[in-house]
Amino acid sequence: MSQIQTLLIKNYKRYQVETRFLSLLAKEGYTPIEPNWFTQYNNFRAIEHHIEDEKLVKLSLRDGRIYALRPDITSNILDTYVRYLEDNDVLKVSYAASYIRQYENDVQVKPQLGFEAFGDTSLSDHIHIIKTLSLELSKPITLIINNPDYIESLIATISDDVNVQKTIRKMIKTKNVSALESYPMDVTVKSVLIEAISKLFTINNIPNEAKSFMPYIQKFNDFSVVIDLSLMPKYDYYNDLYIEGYIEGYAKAILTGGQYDKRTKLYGQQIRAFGMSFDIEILTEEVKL
Amino acid sequence: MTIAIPTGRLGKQTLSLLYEKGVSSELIDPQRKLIVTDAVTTYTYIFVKPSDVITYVTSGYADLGIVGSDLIQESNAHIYTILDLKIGICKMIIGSKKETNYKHLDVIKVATKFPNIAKSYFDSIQKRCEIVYLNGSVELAPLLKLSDVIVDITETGTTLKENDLVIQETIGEISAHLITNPSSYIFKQEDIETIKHKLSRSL
Repeated sequence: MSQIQTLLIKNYKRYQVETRFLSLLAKEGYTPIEPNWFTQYNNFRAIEHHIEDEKLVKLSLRDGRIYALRPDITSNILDTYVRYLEDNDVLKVSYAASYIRQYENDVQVKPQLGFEAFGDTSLSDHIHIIKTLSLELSKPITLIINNPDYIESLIATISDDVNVQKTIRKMIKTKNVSALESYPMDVTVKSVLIEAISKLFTINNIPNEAKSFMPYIQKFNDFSVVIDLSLMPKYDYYNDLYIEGYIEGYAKAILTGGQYDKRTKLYGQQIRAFGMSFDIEILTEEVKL
Repeated sequence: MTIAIPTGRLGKQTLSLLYEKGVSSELIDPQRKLIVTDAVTTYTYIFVKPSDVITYVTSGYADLGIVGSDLIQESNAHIYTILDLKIGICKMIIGSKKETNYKHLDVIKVATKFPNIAKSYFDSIQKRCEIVYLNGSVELAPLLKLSDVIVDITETGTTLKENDLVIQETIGEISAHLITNPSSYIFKQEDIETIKHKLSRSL
């Protein structure tokens, strides 16, 4: 098969996968949307700080206004839709779209497929969606679950200093037990932290203190689940629940997301927010068609 | 199970350690081969530049890797640093000409191969710095006044002394660590724990 044929077949399969997933999500009440391509840079920067400036692709108009080329999908949805929700409104949307990043001298288009739910929605419904979509895969998915608030509560007892907290957070994220062992801190907190990060737990053997932060954990009984208390999201806007999903043969997570209520505050709301996104490249390889 | 071994001196120390601790069934001598499979354990060893170990592990082409903590700290990769192997020990230092009093400067010009480590250190002591990224011969920078100080690794300080530089401060201890990626850690947990356990005996 020629290179161009391989490329076209791959693109067609990706189209089929996106169509299948968006159709499954539509049956569950999720409306497909196309996020805006352009975001007013100043408005974006006034609210969002999690993406480094040098990674944004910026466009300058003749009149001096600056736009960022789709810096991220969720902020786009929050800005375009969530900001206008009224009491008791529920919004469920899905998307197959790319965000854009600049690296050194290269611009990368990062495709994602995901769903986001805002307002009074239940975790059981979200778990049902994850299950429905994961059944489309040719290999079983293993979910790594954590409530990062537990480890953050321990870090807060060690120091108020942001730089110290950053250093400890990095040791935890990388499971660097030897660095933690030699770091000056209260011995009891240190031993709890080391115990927490040096193991992976199952639903039935999480330490009690950590379990109290995850009252929902039994709801994941239908999945192959690992609880990793060192699992911390790249961005700090998640609360209560953060999930990464892996399938064998891929180092990258096929699925990431969780609950991010506190991010809605930035857009004038105070509502529940839950979203998950799939890596389209892995989906294209691993969805049964 | 695929293990990324750094080439060079650290690689030789690593291969001796793997054999002594019973991870490899014989003392592996890769000669010019880039891939060697241990016939007994079936572990595959790949030999890569030290700076590429993290790339092989994060991309999943290696389940485990051995790499200096300097490169781990410099990287923001999603990896687990599961064991300090206590080999390849050296220090991350701030060096300069003896007469340089850099702590009194408003903005410190720092030449380094480790921009993230240097930036993070000067942020932590609330000093502004300007990073001059260099790929090698960092000691030259203060001599030619390209920078006020350098942030670099040193084992004995000999190269610094030979270039009339002094160690002003040690900002961290460096050693080789065993690393893995989250996916291998989940799906090959038993094998990884076995290797970690063998390597951690009387370290």
